[in-house]
Amino acid sequence: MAGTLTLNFSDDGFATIQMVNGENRFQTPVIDEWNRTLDSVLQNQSVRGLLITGSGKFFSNGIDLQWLGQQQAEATGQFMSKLQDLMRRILVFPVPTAALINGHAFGGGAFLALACDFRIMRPDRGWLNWPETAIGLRFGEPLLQLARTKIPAGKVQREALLFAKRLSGPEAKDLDLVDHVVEDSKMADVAKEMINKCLGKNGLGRDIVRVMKKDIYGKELDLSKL
Amino acid sequence: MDFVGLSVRLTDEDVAVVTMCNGDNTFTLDYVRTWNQALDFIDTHPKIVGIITTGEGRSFSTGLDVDWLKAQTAQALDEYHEALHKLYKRILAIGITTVAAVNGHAIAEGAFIALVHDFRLMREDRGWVQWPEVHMKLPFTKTMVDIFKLKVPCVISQREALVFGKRLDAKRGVALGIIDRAVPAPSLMSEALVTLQKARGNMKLDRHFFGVMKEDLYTNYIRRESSAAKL
Repeated sequence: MAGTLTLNFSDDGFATIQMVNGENRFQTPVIDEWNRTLDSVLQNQSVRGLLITGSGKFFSNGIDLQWLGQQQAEATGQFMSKLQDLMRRILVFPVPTAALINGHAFGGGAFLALACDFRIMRPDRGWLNWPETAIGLRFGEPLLQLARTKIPAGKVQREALLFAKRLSGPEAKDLDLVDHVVEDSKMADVAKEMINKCLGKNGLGRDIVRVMKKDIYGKELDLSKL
Repeated sequence: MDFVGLSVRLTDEDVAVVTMCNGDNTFTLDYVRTWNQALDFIDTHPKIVGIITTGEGRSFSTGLDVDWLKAQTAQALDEYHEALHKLYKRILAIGITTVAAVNGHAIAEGAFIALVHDFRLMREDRGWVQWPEVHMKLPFTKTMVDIFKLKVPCVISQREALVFGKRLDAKRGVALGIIDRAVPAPSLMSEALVTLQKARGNMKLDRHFFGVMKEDLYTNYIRRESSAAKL
């Protein structure tokens, strides 16, 4: 579905995927576009890091519930399955990933940010939020497993997941859900600096990065088939 | 509503205040049953939007009644532990926001009761939280360990509290992430209420659904172990 994502490569070895479709909500064709875009990222051998961002007021507001409500049962199941697979694909992506949370990241959008290695938020705009409790929606075991890989038990799961707290940048940082809180214009530079620190002088092989992510994040969810 | 050694009062804001009022509020099989009666009562009141559990006097609960323990057969103790685990999980997954207002000592079972609430506030000046099982040569069941780890993921806290059974005052309890907040004794109940209100925010929490969310996060993640440790 053209017009939902843009992809840019910069000379310093970074790929940036930007979501440019309003609230950047997920539907099946959007997920297909995501997968094609990620394929393009990987085909470029000079890419050593991936930045993911939204535009305007929204990083991503998550699943397009209105669209989902209009689908037949089988299409619904297929969509959820594809969404979970996309999240896992990003979770174990073979280069370091950073979510530049330029605006609201709700539900599926929050999971997208969570699946990245690093998260940066703004001090002044946008909430990180899992609204499921507030809207009467269970997570489902696959997404809950994803949540557990990055959201520790106890207070953080209670605030973020059980009580659906809307977290500003500073609040998310307090809970260690994001790494940095910086203004919009500095996000990309900060992300690149964090990723370059990981890569060091010699870089990191794509295969080993993927294997490491599978091993470390694979305690909570079964990544063996990836 | 009065039960044997425990009362439940409903406030104007539809909060159920559960007060353990049986001396040091020690646990026996009967006290587990009393607790279930209180929860049954709360179950039949759909308007209740919060639970605050506290104790009367110097103790929240000092845990197992040792005299009662000594008089039990191994089979009776297995029955007790089975019932106790069920109670922990029942409170853990109740579809209502819960706050433990720890007014004094919370030891062993008392500490677990506090732990299975959503939030723990403690008076800052008196009382300690402790799991003394190592000193009594009483191993934890897998269920107990899983509950602790679900609420307190910090490994250092697990070491201090469970492995070495340290006595933790409110300040230490907060530092270890076991207690959410230490407050002056006179504000314990009012702060518990504020905590409840802040947690719920504007959400309309359907009791059944909220219980399911807690099950997804908590009780479905806990290993089963029905038999008690050998004493």
